[in-house]
Formats: sequence, C-alpha cells, structure tokens
Amino acid sequence: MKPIRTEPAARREALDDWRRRRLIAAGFDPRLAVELAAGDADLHELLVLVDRGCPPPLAARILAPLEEPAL
Amino acid sequence: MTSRQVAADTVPRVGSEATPPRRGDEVRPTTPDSLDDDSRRWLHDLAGRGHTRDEAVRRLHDLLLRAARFEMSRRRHMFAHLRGGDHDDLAQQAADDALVAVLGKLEHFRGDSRFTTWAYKFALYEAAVMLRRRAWQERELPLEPDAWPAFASRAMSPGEQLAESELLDALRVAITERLSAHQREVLVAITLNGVPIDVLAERLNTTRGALYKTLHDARKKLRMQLAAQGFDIADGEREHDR
Repeated sequence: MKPIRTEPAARREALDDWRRRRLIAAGFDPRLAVELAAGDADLHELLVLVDRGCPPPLAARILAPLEEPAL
Repeated sequence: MTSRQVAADTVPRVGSEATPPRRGDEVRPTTPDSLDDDSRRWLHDLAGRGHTRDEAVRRLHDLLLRAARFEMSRRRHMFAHLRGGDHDDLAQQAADDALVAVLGKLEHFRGDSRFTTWAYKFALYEAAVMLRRRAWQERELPLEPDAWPAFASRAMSPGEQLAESELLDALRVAITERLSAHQREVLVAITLNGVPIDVLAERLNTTRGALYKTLHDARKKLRMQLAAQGFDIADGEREHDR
C-alpha cells in the first residue's frame, strides 16, 4: 500500500525540494520537476522509465493521472 | 482514540470485494474448529454490527495501543532525541494504522496463533515503521556510496584481505558501470547507507514492493557480472526467493 502524504507544511516543503532535486538530476526540466515533485507522482516509476530510455516529458505523461471522464 | 480516530463505519468490513454482501447478509471470516474461544469471539464481534462491533473495535484499538507503546518503549534508547509526548503521539498513530490494517486483513487470519497475538504483530510493525520514519524525517537521504570503508572486514589474513579487496573493487566497478542511475541510487541508499526501505518509499511516493523489485534486479545484475569475472558468488538470494 502506498504511504499517504500527510506531512506538516514545512516538512512537505523539504520533501518536495528533495523530490525536485532528484528529478532534475535525472534530466527533468526544472519547471516540470517542480510540478511533479509537488504532486502525487510516483518518483520511482518516473525514474525507472527514464532509466530505460524514456524521455522525461513522456515519462511524466505516461504516469499522469487519468482525466475525469466528461459527464 | 485520537484525532486520527478510526470510525468503525469507515474501516474495511470483512468480506470479498468481488462478491459484495447483500443488505442484511452477515459476512464472516472463516472460523475453523481449531480456533480458541477468545479468537472466535473476537472474529464474531468484529464481523458483527452496531454496538457489538464498535465495542470490539475499541477494545482492539486499546490492545494495539498497548503493543505500540511497548514497542516504542523497547526502542526508546535508539531514539533519544524524541520527547515523551512524541513517543505517545507516534504510538497513537501506529495503533490507528495497525487497526486499519488488522480490520482490512481479518479474512486472512488463519488461526495459526491466537487472534490477539496475530493482531499484536501489526502494532509492533507499525510502531517500528513510525520510529524509522521519524528518525529519518529531518535527514538528507544519502544516495552516494560513502559507506564503502564500512565494508572492510577485520581479523583476516593478508591473503583473505587481498581477495576481499579485489572483490570490493570489482563490486564498485559493477555498481558504477552495470547499474542504471536509479538502480544505483536505490541499492546504495538501502544496502550501503542503511536507509530503511519504507523511508525511501515514502520519499519517492512509491511502494516498498516496487523498491524491492529494483533491488532484486540490481543484485541479480551485480551477481552475474561478478560471476562472469570469476568470483565465487554464493547464490543466497535464489534460496531466499523460493
């Protein structure tokens, strides 16, 4: 089961910063890295895709949450 | 219970999701004849409804809280920087999480031990996880192999030292050249730098299972590389995987 992110704001900020730095080090564009780090993206899956040669923007699109179907 | 109180109506109920119970149906876990009376009563009450179930959930939470406090107290010396209130808060959180886990897995209880013994382990596990997470909360996760010297064994003959040194050199090269960047980070963080796997999973917002898979693949690559270079690598992982 995935851990639920319920950290206080300061800790969440530090965690997002750590996640952002990991993504940038892996080749993600800084703006995309900020967006992904602050969201609920599974960084491990993103980095695995990039490891296998997937361009970072495509990895982000593959793992993006599905859009809500229009009612 | 605490502010993280788990309402009895919100916790998973016993039964298969594939065949949801109809209104009025009582879904109960398996109750083999070998179950002791106390365990059977717990299962009966937790699978029940209304006041009986609420009361059973409350008693279960009390039990789990005692277990979590015990575990916190047992490990207190390892986390001296935590204040008394921190321990109690963590124990409450561990008990809450353990309660949700126990209620979600009631149907997996096989009666190999008493129900309370089985449930107790959930609280011990959650308490240990809470403490590990707390201990690493303010720390940078080391992802670089700065712990190599710790590998050097002691009390070896010069010949053994040479053999070990060659193996470590080969391992260092294999980690650098054979593993992908993320595989290397995961392996180094967990196996060399001692980062708990649940802490790393939380930071990456992933599951422990996904990290185990990466670790397994990385170790397999390293073992193959070292074997190809003529090192005698004991295949302990294959035994472990069975």
